Amino acid sequence: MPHLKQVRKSKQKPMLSKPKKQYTEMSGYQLRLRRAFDNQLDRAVVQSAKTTMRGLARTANIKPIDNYNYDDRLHETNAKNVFRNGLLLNNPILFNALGVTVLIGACDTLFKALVISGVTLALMLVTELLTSLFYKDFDTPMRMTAYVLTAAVLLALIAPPIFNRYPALVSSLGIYLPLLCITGLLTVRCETFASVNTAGLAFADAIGCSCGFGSIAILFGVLREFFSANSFAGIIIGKGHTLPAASMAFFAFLMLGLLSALAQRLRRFWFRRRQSDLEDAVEEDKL
Amino acid sequence: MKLIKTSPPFIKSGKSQSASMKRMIVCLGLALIYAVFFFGLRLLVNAIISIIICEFCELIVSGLVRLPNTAKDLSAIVTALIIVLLLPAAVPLWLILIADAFAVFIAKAVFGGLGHNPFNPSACAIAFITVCWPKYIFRYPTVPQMLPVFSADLSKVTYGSSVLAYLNAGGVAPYRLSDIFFGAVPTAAGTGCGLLLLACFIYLSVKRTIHWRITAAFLLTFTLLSAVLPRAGLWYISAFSEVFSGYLLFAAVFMLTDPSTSPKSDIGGIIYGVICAIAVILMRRYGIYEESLCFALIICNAIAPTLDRWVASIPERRL
Repeated sequence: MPHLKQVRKSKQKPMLSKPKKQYTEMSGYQLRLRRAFDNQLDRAVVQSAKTTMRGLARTANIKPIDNYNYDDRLHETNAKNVFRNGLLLNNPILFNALGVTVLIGACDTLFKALVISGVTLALMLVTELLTSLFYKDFDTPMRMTAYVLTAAVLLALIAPPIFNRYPALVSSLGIYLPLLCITGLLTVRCETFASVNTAGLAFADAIGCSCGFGSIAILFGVLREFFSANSFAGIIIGKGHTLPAASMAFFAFLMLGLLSALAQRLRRFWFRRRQSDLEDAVEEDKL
Repeated sequence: MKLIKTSPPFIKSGKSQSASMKRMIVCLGLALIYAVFFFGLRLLVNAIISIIICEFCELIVSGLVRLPNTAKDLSAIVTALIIVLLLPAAVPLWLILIADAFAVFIAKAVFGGLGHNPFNPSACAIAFITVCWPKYIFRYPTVPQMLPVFSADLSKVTYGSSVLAYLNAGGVAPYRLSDIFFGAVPTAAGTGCGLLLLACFIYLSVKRTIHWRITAAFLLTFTLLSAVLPRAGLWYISAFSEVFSGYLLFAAVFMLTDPSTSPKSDIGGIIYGVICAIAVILMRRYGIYEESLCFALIICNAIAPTLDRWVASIPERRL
């Protein structure tokens, strides 16, 4: 009696809900129907989420930013735009918080910031170029290992001459110089950009991101050195009150937070101005 | 439908924010008057200048972010008074200015103003100037001593070591216990009188301005731990000295119970108080500064929202 057997089975292992049919078990018509239903469901969920977000934005009196599609602008793939994005519009440290550890921990004087910026430029340039030329075909774990190994080998070549010339400076950088090999700035840019783009674009990205990071690092170095010791590049330039906390990590975090907020504000302002310029141009064409 | 944008709390219980702030100001005012009795009118001038600076900073913030004027909610006055009372009486005015500006701009306005700040603004300001200028923060004038009211020349002021300085050095403070209890020892301007602070605690608890469970849990745990782990001398003298010295009582009454930085639930508040007490004990024993309570408080502020969420999830877990 097959029916009774089924009942016994169900008693032995009670099922809380009826299992859903898998795609493989369905007939052609059922399959099409199910896929159409799932697609509709996905669309409905996405639409609902968008509506909710718009509603929340309206309730909180936030101006909708649908017109300002940052992603399109930030991914215009020509060398000039890539360089500009790395330097300003998508600055790795201000907008993506890449390389924060090194910036906070090491860049408290101008000379330290200069060394960090120079080494970052060299590491980024070589690693991104190699990634776009050779490493992009590797498997993901191998690729990640390749970035770090390349950076480490390069640092092993660069560091000794710098150390011989400025031993005290390199010693004062401590762990932060080797840390550049595994910093998010290097690995994230290699993985998200260089591994899916051409060598020329990777070159532009490496220069742009390094300059963007370096400019902020130098700014931090100058400001923190001035506030903490009233000096510029090691030369005392004032005898006023000093702020010893400026050389500490928490002060750099505060500076980075305020600078990042200012940069985001300026970027939004720039996008809006560009948007209104474009709209004006379109209207003039129509007329 | 007309939408009204206001700051929390949204559920009204008949208690207004300004009434709570007024009660806090009354209690802080009593502590200020007690300190004026010891140090003279200079402290009153410091308090007035501090209030003006805080209110001015609030006005600037209101102008910058184009929000309704928040200077009327009296929170700036509370912050200003707490900062003045936590500093030594003979502190330079520029230090008060920096502390006030840091409290309003960095610790409060950046996070969205009153009710949104995750860390206590006064504790942040004191921690900041402690890190930057510790020599001014832990230089307490002896009492009683009439300080010059307007003069910036403080060269004639005599200074003494606080109870915590003696405890940190591994010795017992050579002060009578009654002097420690009534604040007649070198200490921060408004944190001395234990009797007055306990009275303020009872008054604010009865008026339901502060969550008494947080303060009670904090003080009980701290007293127990300091008695079990004495730093110097007899256990009860060490525990008494620790409880009635430094910022401890003052912070327990006025800072720990800040509604925007402490847990909302009762159980969360008790756990918060216990954790704060343990953090203060550890900071005082292993910290590099003479008084590290503000640092411990900031760390504990960070866990307050997590405690609230955790307590709220308990019934779900039981189901």
